[in-house]
Amino acid sequence: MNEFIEKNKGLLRFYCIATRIIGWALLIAPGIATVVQLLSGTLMDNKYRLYILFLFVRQTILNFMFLGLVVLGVAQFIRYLFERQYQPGWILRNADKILYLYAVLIIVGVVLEFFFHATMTIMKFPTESSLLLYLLGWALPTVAKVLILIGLSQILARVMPVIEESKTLV
Amino acid sequence: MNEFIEKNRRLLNFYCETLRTIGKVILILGLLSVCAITTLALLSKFGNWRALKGFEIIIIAMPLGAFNIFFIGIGILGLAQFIKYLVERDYKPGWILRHGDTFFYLYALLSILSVVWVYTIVPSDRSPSMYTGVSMILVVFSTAVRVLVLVGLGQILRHLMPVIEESKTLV
Repeated sequence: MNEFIEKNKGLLRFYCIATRIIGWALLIAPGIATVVQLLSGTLMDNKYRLYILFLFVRQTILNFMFLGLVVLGVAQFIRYLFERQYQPGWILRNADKILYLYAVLIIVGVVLEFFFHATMTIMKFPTESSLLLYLLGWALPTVAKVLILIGLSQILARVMPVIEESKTLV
Repeated sequence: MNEFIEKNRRLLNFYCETLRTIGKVILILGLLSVCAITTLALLSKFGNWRALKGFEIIIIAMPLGAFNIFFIGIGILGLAQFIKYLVERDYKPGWILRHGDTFFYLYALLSILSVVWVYTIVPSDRSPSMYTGVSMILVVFSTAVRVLVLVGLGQILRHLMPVIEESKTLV
């Protein structure tokens, strides 16, 4: 391991810096964009403003901010794995909880989206719509995502002590 | 660790089986959709069936969707194997897990190639504008994120497997 680190020190440093910059950009930029969107008031005239606002906030939180946390977590994990003296940062120490929270938010997002979709569809086509088909289309990817996140958090919770142990042994 | 496994053995088995089923379903659905689109493409080319408007784009873009679905399915199966490998003492890593880092690198490479594919081969009637420029920057940025995460995961997996193996032999 030490030989690998010595050989690729420059590459590892570049990788960690690049992921940290991208991670912070993903965390900060979409949050600013959401605040600007809310303050601009462009949504006020729209009939479906609540639904659009929900989609925008969901996109910001789930697709960007959590992705940013994951990217920062990967950078911290790599440093923790390769550097003997490095102590895991806040994201890595709480990664399992963050992943569980992500899973819960995904479920809440899907339930809310289904609620919005059902309300709008029933209003437009009271007799012709099939909500069950729509729900089934969402069920498989959501279950898959949630299971993956739970699995990853379980892996992290079990792997961290193993890495710590291997560091103290050598 | 052993106490945890004994306490949650049924839950872990259920979890791994569910993951494996979902992974296989995703792989089968992906394969079926590729077969269906290929058949429709052949029918529209050589038979009397007339393709719907925009179908050509679907055919050209099909490899992108196909490789994404393929890697998601493989990733889910690999995750199930990894959890079994982590919690069960006698479990030997399967083929996907043994080549996990290669899969991550391959996915990263194909992600880069897909961006090149989209911007060079897929026909577009949009003229260069502010919108296309911004969208291209976003695509390049998201691809860079994906590639960095995949390369990182490949490195993590490659160096983590011996550590886990070592911890199993020590106890």
